[in-house]
Amino acid sequence: MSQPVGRRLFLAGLAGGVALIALGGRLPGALRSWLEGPLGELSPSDGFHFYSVTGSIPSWDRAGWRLAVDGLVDQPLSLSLDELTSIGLQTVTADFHCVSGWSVSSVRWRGVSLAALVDLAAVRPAGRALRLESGDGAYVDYLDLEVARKPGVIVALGIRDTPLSSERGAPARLVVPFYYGYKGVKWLRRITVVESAGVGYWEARGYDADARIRD
Amino acid sequence: MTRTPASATEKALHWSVAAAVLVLLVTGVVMYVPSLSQIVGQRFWVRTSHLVAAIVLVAVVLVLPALRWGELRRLERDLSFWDRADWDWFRRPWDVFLSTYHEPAAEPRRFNAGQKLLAALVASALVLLAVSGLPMYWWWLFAGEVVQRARDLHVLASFAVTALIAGHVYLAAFGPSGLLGTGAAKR
Repeated sequence: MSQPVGRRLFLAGLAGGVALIALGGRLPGALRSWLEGPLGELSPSDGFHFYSVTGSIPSWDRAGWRLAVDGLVDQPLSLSLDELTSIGLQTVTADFHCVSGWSVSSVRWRGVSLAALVDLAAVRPAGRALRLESGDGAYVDYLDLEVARKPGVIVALGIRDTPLSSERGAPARLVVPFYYGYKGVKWLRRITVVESAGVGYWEARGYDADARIRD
Repeated sequence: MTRTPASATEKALHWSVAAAVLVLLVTGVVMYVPSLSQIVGQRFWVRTSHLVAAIVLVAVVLVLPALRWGELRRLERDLSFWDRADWDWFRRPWDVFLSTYHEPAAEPRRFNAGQKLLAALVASALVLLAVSGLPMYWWWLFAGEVVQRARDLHVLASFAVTALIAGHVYLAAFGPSGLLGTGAAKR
């Protein structure tokens, strides 16, 4: 006598998957390491996946690179890497979360406070937001000035005691610890103080305007 | 043994699902493996292609049965119901890889137990992939923890479905009854 074993297997598979999401904790550490490590990466990695909206990484050289801070400021800046560093470095340790669900725990960033940087440029009263642009100009995002001034928001130059790699956004990138990673503009080249936040790259393509990691 | 040939509707279902899964697999691998992500870039287009293929897959699975319910219901029954011969098949499942393999001759049937198992597991994994993809795409509607768990499930299910489909494609191409096989069953 035949029985609908296939249907039962199908339903059992669904139940197992739903149980994995709904019940219990996250995947065991060893399995997670296996997924994100040797099998997941298939190449040497620091736990980060690589995202770019173009087909290449913006090139730069240490001698010629400058970070511009302009717009609604009284003292526009054009800073070399050494000048940026001289503002003062701070360390921020935070978990990194991507909207697609992967995370890297306790990432130690080293960089310059964004608040200190914009204060140096003397923001005019009309300035309410920042426009942040990547080196190739292809990726633009916005941050309210109020958010930009929060503790932990930095222009990072290093990660885990080493300078940023090209893949992580060298020479400078934004780090906003309480937001998803797409707000951390990589290969940062220009910060413009504007009257109000515009629509960033991913918001223009369907993302919600609120990048907070929900509880 | 004479097999019942696949109908046009079954072929349409099989190949449209196969095409969508191929696009999903390729775009998924590009998004997952950093070295490939770096070579390809174009995150928006890769991500959008992944979503479109997923929508096509779901649409095909919903629309075709709606149009050809009776025909595809018979297919579902052929794949779902197991009898004694199916359980016997699992005594030596690896035989299916051997050129001497042949289907039990006592009662001609459309699918062996391995194919039935594959169909159930792949169907289950594809549904899980579709469901777990929702929090990954519309992340702002879900808690961060849910997005992370959904991704864990998505990755596990995609590994499973990749392994299952790799086995299916291998047997379809090189197995005893496959297109390029030279085994007894084909002769």
